[in-house]
Amino acid sequence: MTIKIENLTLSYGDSVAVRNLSLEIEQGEALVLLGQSGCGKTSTMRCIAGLETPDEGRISVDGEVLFDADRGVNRPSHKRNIGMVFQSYAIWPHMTVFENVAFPLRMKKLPKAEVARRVEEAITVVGLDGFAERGASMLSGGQMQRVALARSIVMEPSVMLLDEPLSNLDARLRHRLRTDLRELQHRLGLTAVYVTHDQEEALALADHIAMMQFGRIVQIGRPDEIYGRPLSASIADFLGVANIIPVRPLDARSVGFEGTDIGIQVEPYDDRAGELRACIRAEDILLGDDAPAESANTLEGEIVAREFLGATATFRVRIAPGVELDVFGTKQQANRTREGERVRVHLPVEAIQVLPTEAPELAEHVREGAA
Amino acid sequence: MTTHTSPPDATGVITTPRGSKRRPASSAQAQPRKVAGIVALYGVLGILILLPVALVVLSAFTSETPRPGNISLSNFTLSNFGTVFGPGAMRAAGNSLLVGLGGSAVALLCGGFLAFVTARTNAPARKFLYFAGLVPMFLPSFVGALAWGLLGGPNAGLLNILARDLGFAPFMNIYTLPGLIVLLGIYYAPYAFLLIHASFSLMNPDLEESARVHGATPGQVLRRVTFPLATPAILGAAILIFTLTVENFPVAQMIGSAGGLDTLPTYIFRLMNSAPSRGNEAAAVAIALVLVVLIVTALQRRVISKRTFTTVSGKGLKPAKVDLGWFRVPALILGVLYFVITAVLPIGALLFVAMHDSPYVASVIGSIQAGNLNFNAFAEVLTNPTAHKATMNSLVVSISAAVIGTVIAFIVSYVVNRTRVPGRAGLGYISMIPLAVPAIVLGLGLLWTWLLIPLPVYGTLVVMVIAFTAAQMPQGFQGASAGILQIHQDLEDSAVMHGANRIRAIWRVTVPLLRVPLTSTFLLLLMLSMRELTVPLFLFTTDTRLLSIVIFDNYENGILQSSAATSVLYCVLIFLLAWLARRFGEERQRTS
Repeated sequence: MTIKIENLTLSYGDSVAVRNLSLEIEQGEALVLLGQSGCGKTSTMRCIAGLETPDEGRISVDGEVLFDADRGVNRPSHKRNIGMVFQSYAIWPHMTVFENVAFPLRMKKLPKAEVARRVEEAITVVGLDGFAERGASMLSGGQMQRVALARSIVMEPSVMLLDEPLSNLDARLRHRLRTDLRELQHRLGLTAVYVTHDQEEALALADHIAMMQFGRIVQIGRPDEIYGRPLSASIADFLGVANIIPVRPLDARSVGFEGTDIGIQVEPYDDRAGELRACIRAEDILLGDDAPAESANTLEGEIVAREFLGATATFRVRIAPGVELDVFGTKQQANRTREGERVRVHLPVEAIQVLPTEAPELAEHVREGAA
Repeated sequence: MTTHTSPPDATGVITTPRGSKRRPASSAQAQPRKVAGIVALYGVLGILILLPVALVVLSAFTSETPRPGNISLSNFTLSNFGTVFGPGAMRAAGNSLLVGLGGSAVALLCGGFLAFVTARTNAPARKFLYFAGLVPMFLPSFVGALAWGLLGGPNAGLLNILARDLGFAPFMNIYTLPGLIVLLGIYYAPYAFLLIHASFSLMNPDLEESARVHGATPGQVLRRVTFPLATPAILGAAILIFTLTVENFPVAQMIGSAGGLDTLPTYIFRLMNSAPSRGNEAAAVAIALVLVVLIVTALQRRVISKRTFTTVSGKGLKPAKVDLGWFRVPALILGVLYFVITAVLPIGALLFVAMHDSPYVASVIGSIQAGNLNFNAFAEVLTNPTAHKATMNSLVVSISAAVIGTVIAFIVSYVVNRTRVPGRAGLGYISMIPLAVPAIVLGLGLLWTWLLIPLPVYGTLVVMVIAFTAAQMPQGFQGASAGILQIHQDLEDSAVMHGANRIRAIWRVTVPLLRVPLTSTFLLLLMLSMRELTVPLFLFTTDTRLLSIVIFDNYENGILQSSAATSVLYCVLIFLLAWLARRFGEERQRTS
């Protein structure tokens, strides 16, 4: 079941939620739409579901057109055969678990025996055996999520949409259900589209991640690619890169921190993209004795804050006025050092990425908007 | 295994030429049905609400009232407004103003006092005091007026007879401006009580405790923090009660007119009932009355929007109780006094008059000692075909109006709150109009509307049902909207995603989930219909008299005994409904 979205645009009045978005999702693949709230990820999902009517574009599943603005095709939601797990789960509280799960089959007017059999199967698949006659308002959050899954699985949907499926659960449960969800998706070979704002959840669930900003996909790729090679400083920031420092180009292999004389060596970068940022993850920086003494990228700084986190510790090191680095260290380092001490830090060349503030297409759009 | 439309390392945005900026063809497909639906809704609300209002406005500016075959804009005139500035209308307007101001003051004093005492002090018997604060609500205002007419008439009033029995001179006359003000005040006090009580009991105790910590005495806390925090509720209640008292017709008619006092609503009524009927002038006065109400309502909106203090803690914390000290017992006595005035005396008077063996009471104590009391009048009412018919009419009209009103209100609230059909917001505004149009004015407009519309409904119960449905649209709309907004949109969308079409999703999911709120909306409308006197006043015929109209008519014609007996049974009926509604309200709280 290949899902193909072409040039999708959705606006509410004057504000554009999704702009000219194209995307393809393969059979059996899990794609995560990742981005901050208001980036258009939920709107994109609701367009696939048919709960929003896009202004422009085309959506098809396996060559079958569900929506086409140019040809005036807009198949209603209930005829799309797309499963959806809502953020609130939307379990109907006035029905039992069985009735909730049986709903899609009853809408198709299937014979009673078949309904009973398939509901039983679906309930077993999600691990809720024995809960069939339980009233839906008596369920816990995790159980509700399972019912919502079963309800969509039972209809054998061409694709499953899951809107922030784990955000309503507490941390421990979230971790377990995330693994369950991934396992279930693989076992049943489901084509799935997730929406989330949580990068960890996205990395864990996805075959591919589509990073969204301002209604556009700004980067798409495998989780490790997205994590390792963000395309812009704002994506890096969203992905939890702790150090994003304004720099100016010096030559092809080095940059200088803005407002200082300090220069560091970096890998080749593109200096045509306007303002540049050096992006370095806190865990990639070497601290104290770990830092090689004689190296171009070894700097000296003063510890301004220390946070003991148990197994690890974080340090904030001031390299120059206005330039501070967040660095992960060990608990031993935390015990040995004090605020105000001077320490060495080393920035490995391969850990530094010099990136434009915004992705190229987005930068263009921002300029368009400003004009 | 995966082929994306772009290489994974590059940006995912495919730069295709931008499409043209036209509206989508897709939405045009589903549009005709939606447009037809919303046009139909506008049609229904237009005939129910807009047309009556429009006809009142039209009549105010023309020289003929609307009749079939006679509706034109040609004979435009401003002369009707001469009446508005005439001495009669000016005096009525002055009285209305005094009644509104005085009534609100009395209501705030009584309601506010009871609210503070029950919500925030250690007064004894607070549960009873809370009940006392609500009691007048169960008594329709015109029954209260009837009862106090029996109690406080200058010669034959029971209190004056009792005073004579005890050797005192007659001491009171309710048929005066102060009498009218106090009566309206005490019967609208429950509104003040409820609003202010909610404000006092939902107040976040942190706000007061932090004042204590920062050095304020308990008295200073009350003055500097507690009461200022309650001002939005107090002001809101004041303005609400002002509009309600200004537009109240039954009490003003039964108490004021008997004493030669006119207010704007009774003046409109008299213009309509004079021979020949002066409908155009009545319409002009009606417009003046609507303007007053609109100005005050607008004022209310400004006041409330300017000063919204979020005092709701939401943590279920109980605010601290103020120690009343020596005032605990006097506070209780004041509450008991209020209860006696609003409930014990009126109900006692109704029972006494209904059970007395002759319409004339020479001595209250004498009659009780001589045992001149029996249930004949009740038997009379229960076997009397007129009363039977009126009861049946009331029930049929109220139940039909409540059912139809709930259904229309649900459809309108659904369209307003759940769809994106263009023009949906207007439906909400139209639904709320009757709130700003006094009942007497709406009744006038409905009369002309259904005389004009060539359907054989005038003079039948159908026109009553229509009138009640129109008059109670705001309450229905608010009730249904509150319910719909509580239900998450996802629940219904989820049914659509799982194969139900929209209508089926509403029927299988949304409506069942709204069972309790829709039932309480239905009960509210039923109760309001049962109590309503003013709206049907221009519409009834001898065959379509309702219980409320029979009571009013009998009182106006001096048939007090039957009027009192009917009132007692009427109150029992209404109390049963109120009890039912409350039980549903409790269930609603439990389930939500």
